[in-house]
Amino acid sequence: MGDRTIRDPSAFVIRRLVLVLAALAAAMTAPAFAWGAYGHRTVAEIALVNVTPATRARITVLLKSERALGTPKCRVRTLPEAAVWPDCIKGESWRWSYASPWHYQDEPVCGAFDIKADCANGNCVSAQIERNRRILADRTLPAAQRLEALAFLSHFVGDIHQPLHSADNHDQGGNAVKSPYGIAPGWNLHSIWDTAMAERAISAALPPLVRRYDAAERADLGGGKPEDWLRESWKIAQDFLYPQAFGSKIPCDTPEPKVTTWPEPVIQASLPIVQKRIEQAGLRLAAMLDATLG
Amino acid sequence: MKLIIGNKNYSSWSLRAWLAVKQSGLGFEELTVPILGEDWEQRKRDSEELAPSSGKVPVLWDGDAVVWDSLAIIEYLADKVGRDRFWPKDDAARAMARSMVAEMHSSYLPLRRALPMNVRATAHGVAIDAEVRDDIVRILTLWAEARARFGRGGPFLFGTFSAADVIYAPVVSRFRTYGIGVPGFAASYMQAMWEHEWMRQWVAAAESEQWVIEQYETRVPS
Repeated sequence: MGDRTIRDPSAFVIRRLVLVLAALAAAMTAPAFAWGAYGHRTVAEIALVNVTPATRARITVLLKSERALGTPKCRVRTLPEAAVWPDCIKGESWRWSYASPWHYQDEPVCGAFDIKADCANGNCVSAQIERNRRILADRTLPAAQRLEALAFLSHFVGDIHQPLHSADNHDQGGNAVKSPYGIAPGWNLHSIWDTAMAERAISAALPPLVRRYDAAERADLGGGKPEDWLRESWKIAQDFLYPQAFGSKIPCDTPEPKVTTWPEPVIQASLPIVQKRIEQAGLRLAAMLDATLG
Repeated sequence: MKLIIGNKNYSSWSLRAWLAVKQSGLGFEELTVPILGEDWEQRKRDSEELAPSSGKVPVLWDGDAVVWDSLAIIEYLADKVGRDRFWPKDDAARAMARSMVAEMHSSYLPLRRALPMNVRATAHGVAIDAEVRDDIVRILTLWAEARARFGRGGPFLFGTFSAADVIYAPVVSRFRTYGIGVPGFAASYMQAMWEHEWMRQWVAAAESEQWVIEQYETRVPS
């Protein structure tokens, strides 16, 4: 049968849905319509539940400067919205195009971990966490500038915990490796971990990830510096993620396949890792906000 | 109880009724009749078990009670075992779930006609027209809202498995068969549905069926 009209409906449907959901989100007060950002929102929600009341109050004050950011399509009324803002403003590329490299740091899974080698001029996620933390801490700066830093910080602490924002095998952090997510076609390794895996992991978590953690849990899951968090992500990519995608041995000496699969057994094996990374990101963000604002 | 269903590969309404009976937790016997086969017209006329529905499947027999139409079967079973097994407890969630189920029951004809359920097939790249796209976007929008507002307690539309998942299960199968591109939340939901124990049982049975209904195979590349 060769007379069939073949078109890929995927791009159209997703593009149209984004428009529909954007309109819906504008019309509703219900949270969490930015589903690609579910992981970021959850990290911020965990942080908000676990910061001190004083920190929460100072966040609330900073959020009042939202209008000064001048991004009416990318709202920053809450910390979860702030955590999504750095992705949202990518649509306003002329204003924040310089910030694109800040979301990741390509540590090679087939090479040595070297935080400085993969961070030219400080344009990488680990350096920007430190930079934005300093801006947020500086109370002599305008509130709007500190709010922007709060948004970047909240977002980048999430990004650095996502293994494919912190590791790479000449594949743009998995973006160049096409894969279905289980039965759903049209994904790549990076987008699977950014969205579908986060969605599944967060909604499957028992107890829920967004909750007040006790001191023992904070000690177990929190702590460390951005360099440590980056290294953890890199190790997960090296020890788990890439071997799951390409077999027990990562293709270091041979070209990496451009296509793989991410079936249910791998999804199941990944869930506890994703859940832990989101918890860690939330609690570490909380600790950083307490230390900076509290 | 006895549930009479059509071919598991093709009969979307049968899948819904079968999942509903599973969700009720009640024991049941199932009888699969090959719909649209050579003797289908004769069988419809002669079968006492199919008489109440005028030959349509599914039909649920429970002693003297007989219920046909998937939505009626869901409601009958919910009356029997308790509403909470099928519907969310929260008023707002239940209102949305009931509306979504009713909408699936009454709408989406373009989608149903263009993309018939065919569990074992893979037919990516089939052209879809504007009406079908509208249906797809509408369904994804409803899924998004249900997941965003009420889905935190689990991977299904309203968190835990409910009548809404029962009624949208064939849509998951259709989206898989025809390779419809979906956002991350929907991919996650579809995968969770596809891996649900009862869906796996249904899919395995569908794949082992030998019956072929040609009119539902026209969109599958040979």
